[in-house]
Amino acid sequence: MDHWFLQGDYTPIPTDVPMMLMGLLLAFVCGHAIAWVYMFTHTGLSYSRSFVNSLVVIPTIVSMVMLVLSNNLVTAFGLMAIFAIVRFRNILRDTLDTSYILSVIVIGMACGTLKFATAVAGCLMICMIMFYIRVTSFGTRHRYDTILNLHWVRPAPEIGALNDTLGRHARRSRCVSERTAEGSLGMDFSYRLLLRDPSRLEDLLAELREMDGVSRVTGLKAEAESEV
Amino acid sequence: MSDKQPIPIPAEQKWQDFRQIVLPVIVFLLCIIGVIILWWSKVSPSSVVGEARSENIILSSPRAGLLTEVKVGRFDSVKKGDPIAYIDYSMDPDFADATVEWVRAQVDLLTLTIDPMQRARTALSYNQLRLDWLNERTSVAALKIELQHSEKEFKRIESLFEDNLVSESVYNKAETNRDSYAVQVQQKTELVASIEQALREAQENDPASQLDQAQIERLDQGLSRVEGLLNDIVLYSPIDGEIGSISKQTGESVQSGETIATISSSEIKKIVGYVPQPILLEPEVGMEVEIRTRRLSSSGFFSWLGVDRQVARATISKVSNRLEAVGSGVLRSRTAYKKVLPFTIDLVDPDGKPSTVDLDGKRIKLDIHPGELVDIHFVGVGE
Repeated sequence: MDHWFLQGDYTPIPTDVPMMLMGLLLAFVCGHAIAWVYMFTHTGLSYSRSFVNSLVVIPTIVSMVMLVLSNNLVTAFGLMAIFAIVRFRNILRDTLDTSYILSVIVIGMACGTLKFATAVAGCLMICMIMFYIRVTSFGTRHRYDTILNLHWVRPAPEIGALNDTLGRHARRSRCVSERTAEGSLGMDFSYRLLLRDPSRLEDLLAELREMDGVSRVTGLKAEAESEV
Repeated sequence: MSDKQPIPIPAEQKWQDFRQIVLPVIVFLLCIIGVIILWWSKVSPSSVVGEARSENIILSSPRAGLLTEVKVGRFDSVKKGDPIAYIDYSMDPDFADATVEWVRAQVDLLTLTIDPMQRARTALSYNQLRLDWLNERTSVAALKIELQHSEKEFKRIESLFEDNLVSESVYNKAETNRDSYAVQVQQKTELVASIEQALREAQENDPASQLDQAQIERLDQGLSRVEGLLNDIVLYSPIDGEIGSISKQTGESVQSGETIATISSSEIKKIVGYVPQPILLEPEVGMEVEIRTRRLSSSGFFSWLGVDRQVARATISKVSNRLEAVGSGVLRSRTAYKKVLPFTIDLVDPDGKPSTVDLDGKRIKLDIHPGELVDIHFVGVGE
């Protein structure tokens, strides 16, 4: 390859391209790990896929920013000024949108400071990460995709029959609420299910309706949840 | 328990599971492997830096003279004994004239010390003949110097005359002067040859005449040296190597001790390592070190990633007892102290074989240039 790519940066101190790639790769790996930890430890209702995706991509972008700045205070002020100009006229509510804006700014700065190899490597890396996020739907926790409500009137020890049916249709099921009402027989159950075949929800509902002691069966697809 | 089989998971759902669950894990692991490879091969947190050194010879002029020819150019490869430069020492007029005058005075003195009676008795004695021969050779040497000077003067005036800057009479005078010296040199040379012939015949006829033979021989040797000064002196390369720099070009005059060229050996014989302050680990003679080159490999598919840096092991041969200042190029940026503790690592055995070994213990030769920087790790001890 005659090292043509290694000579793509016109700077006083030559860029160590392998080290630059390692920096970008390590930033991605660390961001990925942080994002996973966030996904598994997050509680509450404010979970956002977009935010998780930003956790993956921002370390790589910041790594590239530092490569482009390379201890140059003037360039650092330039970055701040450009970002302020963009931010001044646009309200960036989504963190991932901000990441995209930061990406294009830093790629432009890399080209403007004649760090062509850095610009190419950074651009490829960021694009690959964005595609990776898209292909893997990264950040989707996808624990349950169906909410099932039913009324159970049979004795409690016979609940195993219901669980067998649910186990046959779902890879994962969890009873999230049990409600008993004064003066009425039986209990209202609410289940969260991860169906084996989401297209066969109606089959599950039909099978449950045919079961003895099961009534008021309703199913709700909850694929999207609050993961936006 | 129901006998019914679980609902089959459709292929589309399996692919989605693979994309969302398995693929991130695979990508993550691949990235970690990539980071490990790059870290292992590229990251060298060692603060100990070494510089490859080779023999460096400074070729200088022993006396003042004129460089008549420089045979080599910068970065030319030379072998031991190859001619590097030709120097005309006759251009140092003071030295040549003084030597000629000294020989002439010695000859005159010897002539006076010969007994007049004996000289009268044997007018054409062997020694007188030899003295005359020496005298005439001295004159020839002096005349040759004058001829060279008059030749140069004539060339200078000739160029001026062509530009109409001097008169024809001046030009004719310079030409006459040169021709006069040329004729004198020719006549004296013929005279020396005839005396030499007569001397040879006298020696054959009277071999017993050995008066002041030793003194005459000594003067003969001195005169030969003066005659030798009229020829160019050749400076030869003392080592195999490459011309590092040329300080003087053909036609330039050189002073005594002035550098003409530097010759660097291509063979790296040692690495000088520098331990920066604060010295966390004191290097010791015999301590094993690992040397890592910083050069990217020129072959292999992943060579552009620099994943195949050369690594070799050697031992420390000498350690300095004092700290030295080094250039900023050797130290890492923003190093607080500019003085370092130097030590040397020999790369060649006394028998000329490489003393460095690879990680498997096989002897290898480090592929580095003189002056190239390498990273050094102390093996088996924490830095």
